[in-house]
Amino acid sequence: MFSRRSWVSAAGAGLMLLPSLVPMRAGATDGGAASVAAEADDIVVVTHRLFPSKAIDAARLEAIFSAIERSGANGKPIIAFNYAPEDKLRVEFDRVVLHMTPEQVSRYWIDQRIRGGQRAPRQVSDPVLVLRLVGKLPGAIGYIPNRLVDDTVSVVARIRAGKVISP
Amino acid sequence: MRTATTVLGLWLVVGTRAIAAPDVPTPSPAPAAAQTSVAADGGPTTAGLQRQLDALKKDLDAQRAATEAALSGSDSPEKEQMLRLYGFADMGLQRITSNGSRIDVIIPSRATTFAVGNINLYIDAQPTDKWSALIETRLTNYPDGADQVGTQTSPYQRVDTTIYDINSTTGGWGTVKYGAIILERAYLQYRYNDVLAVRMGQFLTPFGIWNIDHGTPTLISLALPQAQVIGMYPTHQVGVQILGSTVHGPWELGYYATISNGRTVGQLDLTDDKMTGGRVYAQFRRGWRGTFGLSALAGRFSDQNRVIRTFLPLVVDRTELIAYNEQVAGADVAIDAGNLRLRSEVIHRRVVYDPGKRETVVGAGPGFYVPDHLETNWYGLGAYQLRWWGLEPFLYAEVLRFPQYLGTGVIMFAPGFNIHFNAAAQLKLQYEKFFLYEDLDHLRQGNSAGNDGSIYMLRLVLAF
Repeated sequence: MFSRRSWVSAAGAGLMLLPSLVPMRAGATDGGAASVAAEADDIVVVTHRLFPSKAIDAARLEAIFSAIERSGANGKPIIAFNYAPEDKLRVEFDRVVLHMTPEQVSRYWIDQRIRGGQRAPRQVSDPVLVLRLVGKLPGAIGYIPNRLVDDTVSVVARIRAGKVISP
Repeated sequence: MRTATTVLGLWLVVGTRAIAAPDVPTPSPAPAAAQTSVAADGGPTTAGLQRQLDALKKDLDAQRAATEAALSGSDSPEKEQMLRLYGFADMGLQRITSNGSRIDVIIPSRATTFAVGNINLYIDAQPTDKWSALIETRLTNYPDGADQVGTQTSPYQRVDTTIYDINSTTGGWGTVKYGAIILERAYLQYRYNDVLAVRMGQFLTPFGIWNIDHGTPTLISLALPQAQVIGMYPTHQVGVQILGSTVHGPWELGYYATISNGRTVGQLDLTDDKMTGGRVYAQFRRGWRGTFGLSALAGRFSDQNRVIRTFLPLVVDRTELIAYNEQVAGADVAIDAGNLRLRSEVIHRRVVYDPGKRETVVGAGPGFYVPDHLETNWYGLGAYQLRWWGLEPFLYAEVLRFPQYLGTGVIMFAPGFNIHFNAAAQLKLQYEKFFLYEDLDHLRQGNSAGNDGSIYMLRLVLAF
């Protein structure tokens, strides 16, 4: 009833349809797009390219931005840059890294001054300026939105979904 | 057959390309500066001009940043903040009642009175990133009003600093009261790195929690631990201090070490004996903070006079009148967990006098001398900030064993609450009830009748 030629043609047609049933990338799902979107929302912690550490964990970030750790492994001063207390980027950074609300952060720095201790990280007005300063000053560290990162700085940590993760 | 071969070939081409194509993310838009929108007449559109303007602004910001970085230099990134002035002040109301007890000896007023508390100004200089100086001054109306209770053999005395304002344009008949500046600390510091900094000058003794927290904005309670009030350790020292800390994950390990003149009657040390001491602490940070510390001091106190015994030949006698050796040790813990703050310290002091060189008992008259003795102080403090109106109720309790003529010990309870208007301003209220015991070692037998008192305190506090 069906000739050999018919069978071969049908098999060929079926094989042609097979690639459309295989995902374009193994394991790829809609989470791929979500993952890219999440990365785009990251706050990235950036340093000067000659900064001695290539990755900084949450505990050390907290120590640096609490002015407890002010010198790097090479003995050179760490220059940390921050934003104004009400800046949304800073509020999120303080919440995740320092585990403090804006009022708690303000009170922390008042306490530090009264004790006669550390100075707060220098405040800068906007992330573009942070990017340029960090790129220029050895020992500098700051944090900016992921979309601003370029090759003038090194990424040493990321803040995503309320957690500090590796770069 | 030929048809099947053709179909198979087509599949190999199309299907293979479909499987092997990499997952290329959606390319980001090209930089705005690279895009030029051209209007129908060949000139740039408004949108295109705006994009060029934005790009130029970005370049200008970058140039400014580069200029600022170059001007600031890598040695002193905070040049524009080389000198800072800040401080705190507290004013308020207080009332001390003694119930006719022996406390009347030391209470100048049993009335409700307004009071100027602390007015502390800091001068904080950092000319380079490694060198700095800190000076903290307290402005006061003292010694005006300082008094000495009279006895049957000596009259009551009170200091009055009223003077005629002779520089005034009103003719010099008006009067003013002069005050004084108390130097809380003044030191120069060289900071080598996180692990080593050296301070020279006058500094707050790094002992326990309270003396390091130091100021009313930072302290939770208005009531001070008696260890500080009666001076179980010298709260200020003149000498050299080294300090530093190191961070290991969530732990910070730190130290202070001091060598100083110790307790002195004047500005200078009268003997070569120096007081040595220090503090070590471990702080844990992971959402909540806990600090655990140990402190210790040891030194010898000496009070001498100088008298010209003869003029020809000129002979000056230096006579040591009072001398004792002391050792002080303490342990402390501080926990900050969310809205909860806990503090506790225990301090122990041993005093041994040189023979014949004892202090006299204050207010007890001649012939009464202070014995060799041990002093012990413990306090506990818990505070919790509520969600409403910045309210922070707290409870403070303390026990002091300090043998003196008012009794061998004090037990104190002091509840209160703070109202945090914001990070800088707060209102602190506290009621303190204390009991003096003749014999603290046998509390039930101790007679506290009449030997107690109350203190009502209110302070408005501002950090600036």
